[in-house]
Amino acid sequence: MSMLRGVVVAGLLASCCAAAAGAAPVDAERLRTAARAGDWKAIEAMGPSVLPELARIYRGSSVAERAQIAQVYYNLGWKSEDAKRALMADVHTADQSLRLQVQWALGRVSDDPAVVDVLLDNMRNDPVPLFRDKAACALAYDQVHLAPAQKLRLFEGLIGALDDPKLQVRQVAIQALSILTHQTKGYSANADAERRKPALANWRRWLVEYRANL
Amino acid sequence: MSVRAARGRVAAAIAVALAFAALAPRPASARAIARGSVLASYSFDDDVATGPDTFAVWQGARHNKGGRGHVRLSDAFHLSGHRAVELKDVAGDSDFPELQGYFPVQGAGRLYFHFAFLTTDPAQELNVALAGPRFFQMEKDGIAFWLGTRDGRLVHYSDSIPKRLFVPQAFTWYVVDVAYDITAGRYDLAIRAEGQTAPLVSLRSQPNTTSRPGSAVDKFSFVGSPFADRSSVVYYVDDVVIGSDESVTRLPFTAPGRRKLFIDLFGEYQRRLRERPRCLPAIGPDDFGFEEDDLAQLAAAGFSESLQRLLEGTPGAPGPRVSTEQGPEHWRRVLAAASRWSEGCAALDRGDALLAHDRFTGAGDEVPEGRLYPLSAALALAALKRIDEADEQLALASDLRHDARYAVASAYVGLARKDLDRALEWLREPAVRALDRDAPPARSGPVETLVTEQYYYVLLWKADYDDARDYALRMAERAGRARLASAPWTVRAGDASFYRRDNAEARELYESALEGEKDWGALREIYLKLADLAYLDGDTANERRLREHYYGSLHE
Repeated sequence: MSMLRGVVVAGLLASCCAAAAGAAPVDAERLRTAARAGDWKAIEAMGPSVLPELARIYRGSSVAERAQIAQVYYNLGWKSEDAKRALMADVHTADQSLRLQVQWALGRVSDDPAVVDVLLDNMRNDPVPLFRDKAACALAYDQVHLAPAQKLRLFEGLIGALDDPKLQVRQVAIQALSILTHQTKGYSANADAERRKPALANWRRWLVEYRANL
Repeated sequence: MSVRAARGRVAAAIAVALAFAALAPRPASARAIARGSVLASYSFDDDVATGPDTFAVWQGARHNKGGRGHVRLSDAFHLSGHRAVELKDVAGDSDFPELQGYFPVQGAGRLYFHFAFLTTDPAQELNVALAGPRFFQMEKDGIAFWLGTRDGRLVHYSDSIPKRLFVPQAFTWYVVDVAYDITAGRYDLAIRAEGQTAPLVSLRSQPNTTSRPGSAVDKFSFVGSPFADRSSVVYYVDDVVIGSDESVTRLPFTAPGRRKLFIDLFGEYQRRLRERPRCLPAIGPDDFGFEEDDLAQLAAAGFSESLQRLLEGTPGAPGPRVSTEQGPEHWRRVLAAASRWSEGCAALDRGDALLAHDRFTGAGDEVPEGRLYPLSAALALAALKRIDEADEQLALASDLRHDARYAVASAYVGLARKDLDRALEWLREPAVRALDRDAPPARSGPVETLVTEQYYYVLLWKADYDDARDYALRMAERAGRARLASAPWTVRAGDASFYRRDNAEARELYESALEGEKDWGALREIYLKLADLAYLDGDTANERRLREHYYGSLHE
């Protein structure tokens, strides 16, 4: 059964497992060079033991370098509390490149509910439409470490956003939901509040059933 | 929201080339169901080529050549017949095995999907799906039905939700029936544990995987873990039937080709031994002395792989690793004995019957309840021409008397006395002498029992069915005269008629044997043989009645 975009996860987890086997001493200089050059393959070869040092390098780097390192985190897809803490510090940055890389990378380094919460908050409340859009994108595609129970929080947030007064928020919320569940349940973000009600009720019923199966 | 197509995407690799692999299942003949309603039907007992109208088999579905899993036929476990398909996934190998089957596209109406599966470790992920022309995508005409194990629990994906079903047990067959209303995009789901009539799951009108009405289907798939590569599942699939008629949901009671006939099993084992002396296969954990309760606990204790290797019985394969720290002493003892048996089989396969005998007797001494050990020892001793000792071992294996393996082993020991004709000559005299005198008031002595049985089985081996039947009838008559149980010999007479395809005579003899038989195991075998005959005659109602009688008896 060769299927679904979920296979993305397969490669990431496989590389994670493979990397976990080794724990060589960290060559900080080589790591810094690779990180700032965005050479994630070289870092992958060093193994997950470099993650704490990589977080230190991240914090000591320029905005542009941090964006590069965030992309490294994204590509590695290794769960890391150090990485999460480092990236969370930039999750509200106004720098466009860094913000996008951080939002995309967070779900690939952590299954912390705080990550889902902050992305949902960015999706609904960030003043910049692009950041709202990309936060939804990250919620739809990049929460690769979430178990079904952890996804409940994500679904609650997205379904809650279907009633958001901002059209764009409703649009990206249903798009994220349809990417995650492959259905819209008849919801149209453009419809007025009254016409949205039946589909919203469908989604709420769906959420109840999802919760009941955890 | 724009989609970052270039980021982190791994294309879902839908291979189009068929792998003409070693596994070669064949569509079973669908006598029990109206032919027009059966779209695909496999019981995996016979050989045929894979192809676009039947199966594709991928040892590694990603084709990255790193896959260490497999898909192959196995007689380690089977629900019907004597084989099932075994899928083995290996965590961390970046690949997964797949058995994918095809049938004509169904875009409307109802479709019935029936299959059975047994997993050796429910904690390991497996997945089963029905999908359409859009392959295994979560969209219309993609996946319609999806069943899998997640964290030790069986779930089905309905309405984009992994819905919980139950916690499956290791080494238990589960029979799954899906009645899919394609137009409505909804299905009924029933799951039964083997031998139980009440379903564990009986759900109505479940939305399909993504709640898409009219989602067409044209393929099914059995895999390990295609996503996370974290599964080391070993599981078995049997009796796959796709049909447009609800009659398929009555399986396994009337499954086409659902049971390898006794006669075919005899032929199968006979062919195996004709080539060279070698082990007859283990067909269930009780062959090694495991009890049903042991299995789930063994799997939970991490012994699944060891058990698996044992039941594969691959000559030369390393025996199971037996930890000195895990599990109760009883398990270690049984596993150690089984490991010895496995080594003995490898030795026998290499032609080292002496070493094989040593291993088999060692295993038997360690676990006397392992009924396969004396049978295997008898074969090794026959290969060494130590016939008297082989007879002794056969006597110890008498618990298997209703089993085709015993019949073949008995014939093999008989034949080992001399060449085929001389063996008969050797056996004839004492066998006929037994006929000429009345049976002793108690049951026959072990030597007489062995000689008469071997004589009969050698006749079968030689395909002298008339002589075998006549001899069996005379033995039955002799037992009757002495007021002893005549049914076993009446059944053997029926078997001989069965082998010569005289179904009417075989039926008459089996029915006659039923009247005098009290032993539950023997009764079960007679009912199943009668069911086989009904199946061969196309009498599905009667076949079902007889098989249900058997399954009902299981709980009496």
